[in-house]
Amino acid sequence: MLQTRYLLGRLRQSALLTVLVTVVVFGLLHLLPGGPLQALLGEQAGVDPASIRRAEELIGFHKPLHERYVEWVLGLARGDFGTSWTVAAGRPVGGILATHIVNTLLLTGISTLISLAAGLALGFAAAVWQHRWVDHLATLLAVAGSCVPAFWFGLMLIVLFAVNAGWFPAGDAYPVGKTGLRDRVPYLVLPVITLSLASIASWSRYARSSLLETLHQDYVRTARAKGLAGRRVIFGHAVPNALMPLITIVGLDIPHLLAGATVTETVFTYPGMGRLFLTSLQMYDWPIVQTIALLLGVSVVLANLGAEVCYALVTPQLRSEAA
Amino acid sequence: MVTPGVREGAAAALLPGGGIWPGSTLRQRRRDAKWRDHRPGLAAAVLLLVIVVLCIAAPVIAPGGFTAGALEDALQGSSLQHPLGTDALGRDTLVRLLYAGRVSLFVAGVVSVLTTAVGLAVGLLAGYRRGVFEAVSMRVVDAFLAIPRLPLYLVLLRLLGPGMGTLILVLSVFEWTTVARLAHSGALAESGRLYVTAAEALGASPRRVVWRHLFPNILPPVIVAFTLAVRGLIIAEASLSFLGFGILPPVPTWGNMLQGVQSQLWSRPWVAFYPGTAIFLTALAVNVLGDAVRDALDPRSGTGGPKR
Repeated sequence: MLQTRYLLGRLRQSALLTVLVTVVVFGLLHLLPGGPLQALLGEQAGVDPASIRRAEELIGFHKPLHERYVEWVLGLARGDFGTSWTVAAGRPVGGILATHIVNTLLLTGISTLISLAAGLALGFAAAVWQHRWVDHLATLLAVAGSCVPAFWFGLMLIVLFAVNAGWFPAGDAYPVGKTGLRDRVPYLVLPVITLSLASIASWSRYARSSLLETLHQDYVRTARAKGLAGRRVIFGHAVPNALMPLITIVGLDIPHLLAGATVTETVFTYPGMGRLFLTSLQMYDWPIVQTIALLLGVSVVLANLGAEVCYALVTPQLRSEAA
Repeated sequence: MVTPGVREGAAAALLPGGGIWPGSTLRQRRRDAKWRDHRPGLAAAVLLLVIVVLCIAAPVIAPGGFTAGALEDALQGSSLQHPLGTDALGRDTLVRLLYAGRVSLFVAGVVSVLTTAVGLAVGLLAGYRRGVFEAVSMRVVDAFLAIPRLPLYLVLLRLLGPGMGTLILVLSVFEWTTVARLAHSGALAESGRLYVTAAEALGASPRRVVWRHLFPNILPPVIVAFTLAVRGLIIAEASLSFLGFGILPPVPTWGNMLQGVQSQLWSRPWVAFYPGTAIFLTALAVNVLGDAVRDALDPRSGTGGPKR
């Protein structure tokens, strides 16, 4: 009962935040000097004002800002994300985006899972065997991983494993005409490693300090004192508690992972949302830019909501307090 | 980090024959231990110094500038004349690396100093004065920290135009938030302490409390945050310039030297190696130096105790 009320409150908050996101995205893309259309047409020298006005009327830019905002939001509500200007002129944005989103979700989804598994394993091992070689190795990896620029790491992976060894393809998401999951695997290996590096480095640090903190708690000492085996103390008592603060950290990091995929996708010419975002920006395809920016904003809201709900579900105190 | 002599002395006295060790030897051992603890930090400092000095001295080392080169020298491997080879226009890679370093380090340096100063001021004020300013500024910080920065920077750089000036502006507007949050929580924790109450009771003005009492006490974590900011900004500048949205050629930066390099990976894979190595080594040196400074300033996070 209490839980339902808490969840409803969170949902309402997220809905409000989503509205805020649409306002911010729209404002950012339309209020800045020049505006998208001038920028697009201004690149071709000698365009006369009359044709700029004609183009404006064609895409509805002659209307006042608030009307355009309302039209955009109403369109979103109908599932209409607008029409592409330049990247695939005239085609609906939703259709163009669909395949790119699938590719990106696959990349970031697998990368999140692998980062979680590797980061937690590494961090927890470093905490259990503190000051031993695992710990030093974990520190080394974390420091190196946070100092390597992702794009360069990707380039080096291409040189080593695509150019020299020839084990994996250097780019694209799947062989021509084959989009099955099995066909994609070799194409995913290097991008997933590239994208995961930074999150493994940072999550392993959080996992390590979280477990170390837990291991110093009284209840762990009690469990030890009553004679529980070391493994049972760690997995039965310490690890579940050490996982709790990590929920928030990992949850809030996922939108950043999604956005960071832009760099990885560029290095590997992977046809994902990030690279589409980049291409659309370069070609001033504002409807696509706006839609992807909105999706990223919504992912932030959803990640916050998800992290809070998960946290509430595992924390009994918070459940009753929040209600 | 070795904490003040008491612990050392006590430990030494417990050692077999500890009592009869001459004082000078003990002091010597303590110095040795200190030196050992700081070795990575010192190495990092030296490495960073070498990189910075080489980059600053680029016009002295290569007075020809970063555009000097002849087409007939294009695409060479390493030689005595061109230690790291030449690019497709015959320009020396090492020379361009040095000039690129000037730009990359300048951007990272300016932005990190600016944002740390702003973040400190906002965080301290918010944490000490509380009230509306705290509520507003910390909501802004929360929002800025939640937004994925990369797409935001890309959009802003596209709208405002690429270049060093815009890059510094865009990065500065958003990057102060990390330090602000840190300074805020630090100031919040410290202003509850007795020494602050005492200073206030003695009639110290708010400005005096903030700058003479709170500021020095929250400095250690802020210094670490500063080094992390430098590291992050070097990588951010490189990534944005690599994507073609930061600083554009012909001005070289470590990031834009790698722009479009994918097509050359088959014929001349080493071209991708050097700029990234420069970024990595610089970031690593900054990172290790920051850790060393933290260890030196914070007695609790020594190599002996648990690292948090």
